[in-house]
Amino acid sequence: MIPEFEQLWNDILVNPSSLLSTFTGVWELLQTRTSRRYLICRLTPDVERKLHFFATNVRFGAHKRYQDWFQDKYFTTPESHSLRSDLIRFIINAIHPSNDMLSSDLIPRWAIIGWLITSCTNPTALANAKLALFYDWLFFDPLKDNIMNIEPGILVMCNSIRNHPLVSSTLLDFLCRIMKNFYPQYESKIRRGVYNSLRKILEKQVRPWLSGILDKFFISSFVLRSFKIWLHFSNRQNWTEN
Amino acid sequence: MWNMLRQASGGDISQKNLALIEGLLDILIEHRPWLEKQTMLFRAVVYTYVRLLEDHRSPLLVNLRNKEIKFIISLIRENFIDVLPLGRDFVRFVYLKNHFFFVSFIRNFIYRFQATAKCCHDSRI
Repeated sequence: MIPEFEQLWNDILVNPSSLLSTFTGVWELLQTRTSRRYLICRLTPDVERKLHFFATNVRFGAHKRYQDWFQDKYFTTPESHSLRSDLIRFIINAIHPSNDMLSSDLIPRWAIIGWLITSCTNPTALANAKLALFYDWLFFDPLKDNIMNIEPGILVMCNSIRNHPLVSSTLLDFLCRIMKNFYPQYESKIRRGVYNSLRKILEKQVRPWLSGILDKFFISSFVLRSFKIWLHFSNRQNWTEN
Repeated sequence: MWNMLRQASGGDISQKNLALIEGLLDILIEHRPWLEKQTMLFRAVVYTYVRLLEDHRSPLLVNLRNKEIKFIISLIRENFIDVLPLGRDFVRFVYLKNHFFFVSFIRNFIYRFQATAKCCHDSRI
């Protein structure tokens, strides 16, 4: 822990007006999407160029050698794993493929993110990478936020079921637990964000249904049950509010 | 300055990269009044150094780390209005610095999940 940052975090949560008289609290910051300009600034131009090439020029199926090159160049040391969450935030927020690209045989964003997550060997960096993947889900506002920011999360989960069921289930497990634990005081708002994300995914037909996916998950029955109960509860709450 | 800042790579604690990070920090500290007038660059500097702090946990880097903390905390506190547009990813970095329990909680559930998966696998056999 860094005492100076602990104090800053405490002021943001408990005493926001001490920082700025008009600042209402952490939720105000969480509702502001970070400009891609700043996300890009955390990648060197070299990494950005290579990742952009990877996402827009490489065929799905012929991607292995590019991954290996990237791995050999940028992920050789234990501390280099922290770069993964920067890359995931960049892919989610700054690489938004056109419809033509989506229907082509280019490697999709979810496959790149899936690779970044599954090849991570550092538990701290892995947890940060998963948070980076689902971060926009937690505060998703259908009126302001873009479906492209939540699309990779659901697609990594869905498309890994057949070949990497453990990846899918640990990601869903992570999502369920982070909703409750990210910041308990805002649990209901965060649940609403995730619920809004799932509704948007169904509405835009990124995945036309979710029940089949949940049934196929090789996941502890506790998590699956709590997720289904939560979905049911959110649904009822939504009807009541409307 | 923006391009130099981008060259300060995350996840890299080689001598070359650390020298660049510290050199840039010294220039920024020396020209702080100028920096505070360049709003976009100011935000990029805050975002960059809050992120880079994550990599500087080694006891060998304590001097650099303390210099970074002192400068960035003072920038954030005295210019919070300019920090606001950094939004949720800025919060993510500050949050992670204060929630090491987050990591242990994730680790616990990964171990628990692997144990459950093993049990299910064994019972199938």
